[in-house]
Amino acid sequence: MRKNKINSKNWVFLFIALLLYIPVGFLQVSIDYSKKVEELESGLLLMPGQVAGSLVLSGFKGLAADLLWLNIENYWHSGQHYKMLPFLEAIAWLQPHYINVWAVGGWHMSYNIFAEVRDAKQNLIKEYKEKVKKLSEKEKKNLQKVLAIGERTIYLIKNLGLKEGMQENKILKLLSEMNNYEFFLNNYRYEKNSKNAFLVESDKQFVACVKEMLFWYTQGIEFDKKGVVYNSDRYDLYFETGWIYYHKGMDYKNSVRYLKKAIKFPHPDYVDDCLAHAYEKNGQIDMAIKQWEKLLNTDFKNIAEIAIKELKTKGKFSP
Amino acid sequence: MYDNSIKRESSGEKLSEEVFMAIIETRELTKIYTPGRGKKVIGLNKVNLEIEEGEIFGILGPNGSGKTTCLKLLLGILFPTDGEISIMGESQFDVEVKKYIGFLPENPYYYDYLTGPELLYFYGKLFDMDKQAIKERTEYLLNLVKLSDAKKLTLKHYSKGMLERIGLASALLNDPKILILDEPTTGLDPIGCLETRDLILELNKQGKTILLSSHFLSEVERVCNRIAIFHRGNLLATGTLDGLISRYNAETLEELFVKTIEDFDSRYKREI
Amino acid sequence: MKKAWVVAVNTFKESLRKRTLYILLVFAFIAIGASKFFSFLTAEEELKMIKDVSFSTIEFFGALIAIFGAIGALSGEIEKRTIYTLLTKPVTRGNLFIGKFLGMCLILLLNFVLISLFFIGLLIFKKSPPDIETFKTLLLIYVELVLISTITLTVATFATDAFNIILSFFLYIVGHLISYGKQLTERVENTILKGFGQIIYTVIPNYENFAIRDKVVIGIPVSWNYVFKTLIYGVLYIAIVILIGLYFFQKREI
Repeated sequence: MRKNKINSKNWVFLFIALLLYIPVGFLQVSIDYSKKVEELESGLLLMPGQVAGSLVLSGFKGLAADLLWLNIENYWHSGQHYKMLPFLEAIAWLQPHYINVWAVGGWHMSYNIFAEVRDAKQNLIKEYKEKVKKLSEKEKKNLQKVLAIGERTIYLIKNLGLKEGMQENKILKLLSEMNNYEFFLNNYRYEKNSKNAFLVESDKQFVACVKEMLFWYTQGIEFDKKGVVYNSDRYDLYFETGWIYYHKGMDYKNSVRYLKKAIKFPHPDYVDDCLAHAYEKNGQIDMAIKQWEKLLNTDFKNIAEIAIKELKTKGKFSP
Repeated sequence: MYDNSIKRESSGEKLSEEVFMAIIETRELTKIYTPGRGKKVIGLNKVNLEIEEGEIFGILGPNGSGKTTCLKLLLGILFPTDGEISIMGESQFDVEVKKYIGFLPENPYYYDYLTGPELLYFYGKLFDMDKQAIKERTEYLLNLVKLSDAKKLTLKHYSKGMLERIGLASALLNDPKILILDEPTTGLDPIGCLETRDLILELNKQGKTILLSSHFLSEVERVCNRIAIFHRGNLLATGTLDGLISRYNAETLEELFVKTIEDFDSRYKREI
Repeated sequence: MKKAWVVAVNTFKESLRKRTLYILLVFAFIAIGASKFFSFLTAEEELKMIKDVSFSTIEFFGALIAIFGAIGALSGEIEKRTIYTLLTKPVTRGNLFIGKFLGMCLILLLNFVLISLFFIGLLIFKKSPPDIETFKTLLLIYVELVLISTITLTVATFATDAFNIILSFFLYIVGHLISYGKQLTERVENTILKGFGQIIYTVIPNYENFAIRDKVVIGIPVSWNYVFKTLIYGVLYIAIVILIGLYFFQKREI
């Protein structure tokens, strides 16, 4: 039969095309499921702001993050730690699964900025002490409270994170203490340009410094905790958080809490080592020993043996 | 005679009563363009053509008369609004039939980046010819159209005349039974016209059916066995030159041309 | 099918000799090469930089080549009227269209392989030979590029070039963002809107499926299960688009 139409069955193409959309639809559902399982998208936790940002940079997030990272490197090398923060925030925002960002961010805040804030006051402390030396006994008596505040804050500045821990309830107490000092200092009368003026103003700065140090320590921890929320199925950020609690904050209770979570996921041995120390410091000697026993088959074997021995006999091992 | 009845009988289909005599035939072939906004333009209006095997058939008419539309419909480039086409008994879309057709378009359009032989090779492959056959045919054809010297040149560097010639070569590549030429002498100098004319006659001697469209009356006069006159999409007259001249009482082809058109204009309005 | 290959090879040859796509290739090389110069980063960060830039470049310039190549392949043919001679040859329109499609696959393959080799060379030079995850990423990117190209090819069967370019880029952007759109519809209460959203989500190609590079660059491995699923998604979608293209091309008068 002659067909004067080019293809009377042309519509079949469209029909099959539409039919094929059905398996495509099912596949998409399956792919979406896989995406969630394999964390190929942080879909569930995307906040509106991030959606907007992602819309702008979709497809080039990695690239944008890298460029931001360049800036961070610059600021780090030139000592401008504060300026690193907005970039760290931005990168964490773009690539919440990029562990390094959270880890480095938290570290910068709790350690480096913390230290920088402290170091900035060193000269002032030196000058202050010299001025105090030159005071007469009478003057010292008049300025008793002021000097006491100065002494206390200088002590804290020097020792927070080293000899002085920053456990949760302690932080609250310290903050309350600082606020009292502030109140006192703000209401203290002194003459301008007198020796008193210098001492009082310096005290104010010391108080502010202590508050700031506490602030940056907590900021670092909060940043890492945020990272945990996005990466809750790997050890890394649990470990980072636990470590800051242990090392900087001497907050062994919280340290144990986080390190315990860390070991639930595949992790390197030093995490177990850390937890063992934390258990001990937290007073859980038995748990500490159990933890060390886990390390007997690892590179930490030797130290584990010693630790177990020490703990069993002396009940103390960690420095 | 082109008769599908034998084929159809063996495949068990119903015998049709239609049997086509000519190698190309159209029945009530109509093409209406709808450029949009409800407008309708008649491309072809109920054209009935019969082109016999072995003849040289010319389609005449001014520009816009539907010559090119007719050819495009025959070639399957455009789709008819109504009517039927039969080429060698089959539809114009039948792929097998295309193996017997050679087409030379009005303005040559070819791939800039290929050389002459490469172009012929490409087309040859589409004709299912094997390498050797293509090679031989290419040699022969390039000689025929006098392009043997330009083998290494890409088509980008061809002159218009050369493009016409390579076009002719590709139209003849498959040694077609039917040759369709759209305005073959447009843009050619007198010598070129002469050569083309001779070539057409020569090819016809080989048994090829040639369908050409032109608005050069003198060319058509010298070459065609029968002609058809088109005007505004309508077929005004068909027949041998002599027959038409006596029928319309004209002395020359020009006069015939003018008379038929006047005749049409006075009698028929364009209707949709 | 044989004739489709003839057309495909011709399309490929055209692209090679026309050199119009070369400039995109050059830009791609420059972009990837530039990533090498951030050497003041740590080794790990520099590697991440190189990978991010390279994958993004391959995808972006690949998309450009896919879109403009497809337009050149079909619209170019129609515009230059070379398609007349093709249609008068004993080759069905279907074969012609499929031939153009295969030709685009070849063009994309060549460009893709060239850029990827350059990228891999750079990785080897940086002493970090590519792992299986890199190849998975590249494979998915290639399929994505073929899909982009096929869509442009199909649109060329019924639309003008300008419209085609705009639509193709529009779909490229939307196709990447569609996942976010879906999440928005998940929170919508109205079932009709939700259903409508679902349909749009299925109908528009989800290019994000192919984008595993973010995770791979950070070092998170992607399962073969996911890769296979996405590959099949790609193939099915390409089939759908080809069928639509065939439908329109059969009806097209020139």
